[in-house]
Amino acid sequence: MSTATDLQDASRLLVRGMKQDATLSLALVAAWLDPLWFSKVDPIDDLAGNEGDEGALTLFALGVARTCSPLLYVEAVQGLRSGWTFTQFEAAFCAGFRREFRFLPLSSIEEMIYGVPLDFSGLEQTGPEFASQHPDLAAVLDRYFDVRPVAEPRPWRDEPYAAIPEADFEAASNVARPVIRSLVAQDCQPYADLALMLLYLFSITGNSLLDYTADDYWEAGYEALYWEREHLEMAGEACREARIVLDATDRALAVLDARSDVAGALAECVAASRAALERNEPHVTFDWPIRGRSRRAGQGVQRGTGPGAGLLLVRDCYAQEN
Amino acid sequence: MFNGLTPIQLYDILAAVEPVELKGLALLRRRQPRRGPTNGAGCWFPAETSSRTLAEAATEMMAYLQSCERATKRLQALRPVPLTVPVEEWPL
Repeated sequence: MSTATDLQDASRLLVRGMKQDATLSLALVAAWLDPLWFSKVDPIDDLAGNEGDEGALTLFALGVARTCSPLLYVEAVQGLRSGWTFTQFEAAFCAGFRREFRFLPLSSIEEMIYGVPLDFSGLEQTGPEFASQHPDLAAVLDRYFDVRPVAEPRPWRDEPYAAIPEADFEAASNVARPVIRSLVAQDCQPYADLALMLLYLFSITGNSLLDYTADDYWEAGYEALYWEREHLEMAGEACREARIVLDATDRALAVLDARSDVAGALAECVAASRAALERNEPHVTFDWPIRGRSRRAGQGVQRGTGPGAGLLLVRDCYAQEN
Repeated sequence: MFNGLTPIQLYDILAAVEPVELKGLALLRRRQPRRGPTNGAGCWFPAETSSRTLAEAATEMMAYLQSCERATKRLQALRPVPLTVPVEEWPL
C-alpha cells in the first residue's frame, strides 16, 4: 500500500519520465510557461456580459499580460498556481503593471476593460470652475495677461456665474505664443519650466493628456488604446511627459512667487508681445534675466520629472519647432 | 539536381532532426520540482527560478508555439499531390 508520501511523490516520478521524451518535455514546458496557449476561450469574448466575473477578469488580465509583458505574465501564473485569491491576484497584477509601466495608472482589473487607462489633466479655462480648481493658474492669466472671469447674468441660477470669455482667452493665447517661443529659445532653466507652464495653461502642449479633459477627449471621437505593447509604451511616454509638464508648472509658479526679476520680465514680455500684435509687427525682442540660469540637464534625467527632465523635454519637443 | 524524395528518405531526414533547444527545456532538465507535499501544480514544475529567467523562457516558448502554429497552417493549406503509382490496397 502506497503511503501518502509515495502518492505525493508520484508526480515527480512522472515528471522524470516525461523529461526523457522530447514531445512530452515540450508539452510540460508549454504548460508551465504558457498555460494560456491551451485555453480555447477568447479572453475578450469571455468577458462580454461577464464584466463582474472574477474568472473572466483573471483570464482577460492574463491575456493582456501575455501580449504586453512576459514578466508580468509568468509572475501572475506563478502566483495563481501558488493559490492566490482574486483579490491577491488583482493587487499583485496592478502593482506589477505599474512597476513595469511606471507612469500608467492602473488600480483595478475592471478598469482595463475599457482600454489602456489614461489620466487627463486638461484645463477648462473658460469654464465657471476654473478659478476655484486652479487658482494659481487663474492668477497667472489675471496678473500677466489681464484675463479674468466676467460675471454673466443668469436669472435662472441661484449662484452667480462667472467665467473667462472665450474671446479674451483666445486673444491671450495669441499674445502668449511669441513669449513661449522666446522662453524655449533661452534653452535653460527656469525658463524651460516657464515655457511648459504657459504651454499647459493655454492647452497647446501637443500632448492630449494635457490639452484635453477626459470628457473633451472622448467627445472628440478618439478611441481607447488597445492592449498592445507599443500602445502601452506610447501611452507611458505621454504620461511621463505630462508628469514632467505638471511638475514644471508647479516649479514655474514657485519661481514667479519667489523671483521678482523673472515675474517682472514675464510681465514686460507679455506687454511687449501684446503691443507688437496690436501694431502688427512680426518681430519683437524679449529680455530675460541672466541670474540663476541653468543649462545643465544633469545625469539620469531620462526617467525623472525634475528640472533637468523639463529642460530636455523643451529641447526635444519644442526647440525643433522653433 | 534534385529528383525528389522517397517516403523512406523523408522519414530518415525528419528522424535525424535534433529536438529544438529552448531555454524552458534547459530549465526543465536542470531544475527539480518541489519536494514533499505541495498544493496546486507546484510539484510538476521546476522551482526556484527567477522571474526574469522565466520571462525570457516564456517569450521564447510563445514565439516557438506561434511558429509551430504558422507552420501547421501552411501544411494544412498544401494541395494534395496526385499519386502516379497504382496502390491496389487503397480500395480495401
